[in-house]
Order: sequence, then structure tokens, then C-alpha cells
Amino acid sequence: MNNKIIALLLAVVISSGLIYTHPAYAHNFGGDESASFLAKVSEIKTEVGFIAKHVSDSAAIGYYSDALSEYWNANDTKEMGERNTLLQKEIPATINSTISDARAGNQDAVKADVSQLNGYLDEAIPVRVDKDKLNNSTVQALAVTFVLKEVLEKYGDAVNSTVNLNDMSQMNMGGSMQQMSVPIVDQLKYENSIGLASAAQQMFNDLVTKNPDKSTYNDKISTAFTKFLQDINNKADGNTVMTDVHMQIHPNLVSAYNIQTVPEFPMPALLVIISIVGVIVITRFRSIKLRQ
Amino acid sequence: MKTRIMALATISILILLVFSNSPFVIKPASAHITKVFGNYLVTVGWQNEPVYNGLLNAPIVEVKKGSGDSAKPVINALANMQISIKYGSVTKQLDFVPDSTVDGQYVSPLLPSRVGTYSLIMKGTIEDQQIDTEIPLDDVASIDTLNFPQSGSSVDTSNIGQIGTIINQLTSDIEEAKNNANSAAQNVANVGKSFQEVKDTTDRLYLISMAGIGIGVAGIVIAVFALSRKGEKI
Repeated sequence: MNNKIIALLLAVVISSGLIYTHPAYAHNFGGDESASFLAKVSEIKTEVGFIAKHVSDSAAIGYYSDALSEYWNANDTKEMGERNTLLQKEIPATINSTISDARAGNQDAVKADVSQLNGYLDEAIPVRVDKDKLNNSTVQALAVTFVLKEVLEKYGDAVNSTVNLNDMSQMNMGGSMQQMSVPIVDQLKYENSIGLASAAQQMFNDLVTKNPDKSTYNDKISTAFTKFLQDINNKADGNTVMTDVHMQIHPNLVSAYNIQTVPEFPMPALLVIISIVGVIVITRFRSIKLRQ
Repeated sequence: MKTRIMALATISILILLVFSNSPFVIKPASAHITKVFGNYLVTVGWQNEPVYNGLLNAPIVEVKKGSGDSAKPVINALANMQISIKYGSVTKQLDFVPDSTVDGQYVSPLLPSRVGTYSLIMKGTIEDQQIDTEIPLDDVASIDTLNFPQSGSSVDTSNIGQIGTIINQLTSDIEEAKNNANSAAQNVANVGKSFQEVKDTTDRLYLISMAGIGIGVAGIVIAVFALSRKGEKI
């Protein structure tokens, strides 16, 4: 009787390992400093844009200052100094003056700060990113995926998602097609995710103008981006938003712009091996017990 | 007494004239040219002046908005500008990057290889201001004026014909080598592509084989388990 149960359990575990095989690769993109920097510029511009929108709102300014400190830290300043000492000094200084002017409620000064900072950031791009990489569509597409990663992270926090929206393996593949609105628990993160999603869409639109030859994929991605923005604006559940990104945007970006993905760890094989080890241990234990 | 003073003054003036025309006098570096376009001041020049051929230098462009001392630097001024350098009928597109010291100033490292007049051709917009102009740069002087001893002084003029032939031969060799290098680069690119395809296939096979191994080992364990059960029953 016990043996039958063990055999059944073994069959279940092995089957689950085989069934686990995902219908698509999880999109783990490799690092690229140039793409990271392009994404960083877009993210900083988005955050300072929100600071300009929330002048005198200390809670919002506090939130966006924290976000900015994530995107531009001491290491970024140091790396910029290796290429341009003026920008090394001016970028963090202008970020700080934007924040302090916003706290002081000086709308005109903030507007001037934001304009100046955007100019410095644009200047920083050719300084920090080599020309070949700057003109490389794969690098630009990779930068879009990096911004999308931030969107999913912020949106997940905004809706208090129990799963990591960036982890494709946590997607409910057979989920209901009916979309549901979910409550927003963090309004600033929600607003931030919408802003970053719009920034990612804008980056993609810029990419499209430079790559008219990829019109088939570009059309699909454009449609997916529109739906993605709509879903976020409609406060769609995490799984819907994940589907937009992982099943619609990412695969087409990967195919169109030849983005290299890191191979997924073979979870099915791991499950099968673990189950076998488990059965061996159990049977050994049982055989020893029977001999006694 | 008066004549002595006059003589001294004349000699002093003569000495000053001689020195001011001497090549050893250090001339002021500012040979930059500023042009006004609407409300914008565009200044161009060389980073290091005087300019000599064969020495690394950089054309600079500085953009300010306003007039006089109150003019303020324009950040990211060249975002929508196409700038090329012209020598005779030859032009080259330049990529300007922000200077490390002055706001609103941009540099593009360049090694002027020939003596003569260079100019910057600027087309595009600075903020809303349309720009379409050609501004001359300070002339590039020959490095020979600084050379000592003259590097070409030992060359016999009778050998010039031979040197020309050798140069022609070298040029064709270089051209051939360039073609070979291009085809080699193409081959490398093809190999890289093939390697990537192999890598993708290997990744897929890795997943399949791992799953296969797992199932195989499971089958063996089940078989062993079944056999041992059979043995127990007997």
C-alpha cells in the first residue's frame, strides 16, 4: 500500500516537473552599462518632472527625492567624473537644487532647474555612452526593457501585489481573461509607474523612428504598449500587466532588436532530480527498516 | 641732451617693432570668432592656439544666449545641430561633446593633418534659432616651424621620384590590406553569428537533456524499486 502511495507521489512530482515547463522564456536580460545609462536618464527626467508637478507637497517631494537618489548615486557621480568633471558637479547639484526649490515652493525656479537638468542629462549621454552603442538599436531596446522593469516594480508596490511582477515564473498563465481593477495602496508609486510607462513608450517611439525596417514587430509592440498603458490607467490586476509586458512587449522586442536573454534555469529538471533523490532516500530508509 | 633722448626713443621703438614681428613672441591665444544669430552668440575656435598640423587639437563651439556680459551659456545647445569641418573641398562630420570646464562649450577632438585654412559648417537649430553658416577657424601652421633639426632636411631631392614610387606601392599595399581586413571582419561576424546560433541550440538542448536525464534516472529508480519489491515478495 505504502509503495503504491510512494509510486503515485513520484509520478505526481515528476509530472509536475514536466508540466511546469513554461510556454515562453522568462525574460532575464543581461546587463549593459550603456542601456542602463540611457534608462537612468529617462527615469531621472520622469522623476524630476513629477517633482515639478508636486511643488510644495512635502510627501511627494520626499518620495521622488528618494527615487532620484536611487537613480543617481555617488557611484554615478564618480563615473561621470571619469569623463566630464563639469557634468560630475552639475548633475547632482541641479538635482539637489530642484528638490530644495520644490520644497521652498518656488515654481519658477523648479521649472528652470528641470530644464537645466534635462539639458545636462542630454549632454551626459554622448559623454557616457560611446557613439557605436548610442546608435545601436539593441542597446536602445534594452534600455526600454530596463525602464519597464522599474514600471512593474513600482506598479507591484502600488497595488500591493503578492507576487514580483518582474518574475515571469509567478505569472498565472491559465488565468481568467476577464480584467479586474485592483485597489491602489500607494498613490505616488502608482503615479510614478504611469510616468515611467509613458517614458518607456516614448523611448520605444523614438526607437521606431530610427528603425522603420522593423515595422511588423514595431506595430505589434506599439499596440502592446497602448494596451499596457490603458491597463495601468485602469488599475488592472498584476497578472494582466505582467501579461502585457512578458507576453506581448518583451518577446517582440527580443525578436525585433536581437536582445540576448539569459537562459532560464531548468526548473523542471531540478524538480525531477529532487523528487528522485527523495524517493531514493525514502526507499533506502524503508529497506533498512524492513531488514531490521 | 635732446638729441640723445630722441635717439634713445627711436632705438626703443625700433627694438619694439623688431620684437613684435619676431616668431619667438608669444601671441595672445584668443583667435576665436563670435557670430550673432538672433539672441544667441556662437563662438568658434581651436582649443589650443596657435594651431600646428600633426598636433592633437579640438575645434570648440561656445553658445550663449543674450548679449554682452549678461549672456548665459546654453545647455545642450548642439542637440539639433550638424557640424562639420571643412578643408578645401573636403568635409568631415564632427561629434561635439560638452567641455569639462565651461558650461555651454563643446569640443570635438581633431588632429589637423595639413597646413592651411579650416572652417566649421554649422546647420540646424539652437533652441528655436535657425543656424546655417560657415565660420572660418584660425589657420593651421606648419609644425616644421617648431621642428629642429628639420626632419626632411637629409632627403636628397634626386630621390623624390623613387619615394613617390614607393609611396604608390605602399598605398596599393595598404588598400589591399584594408580589403583583406574587411573580408576578415565579415568572416568574424559570420562566425559570431554561427556561434550565437550554436549557443541558442545548446541552451535548448541543455534544458531537454536535463529533463531527459531526470526522467531516465527516475525510470531506473522505479525499476530498481520494483525489482526490490519483487524480491521481497518472493
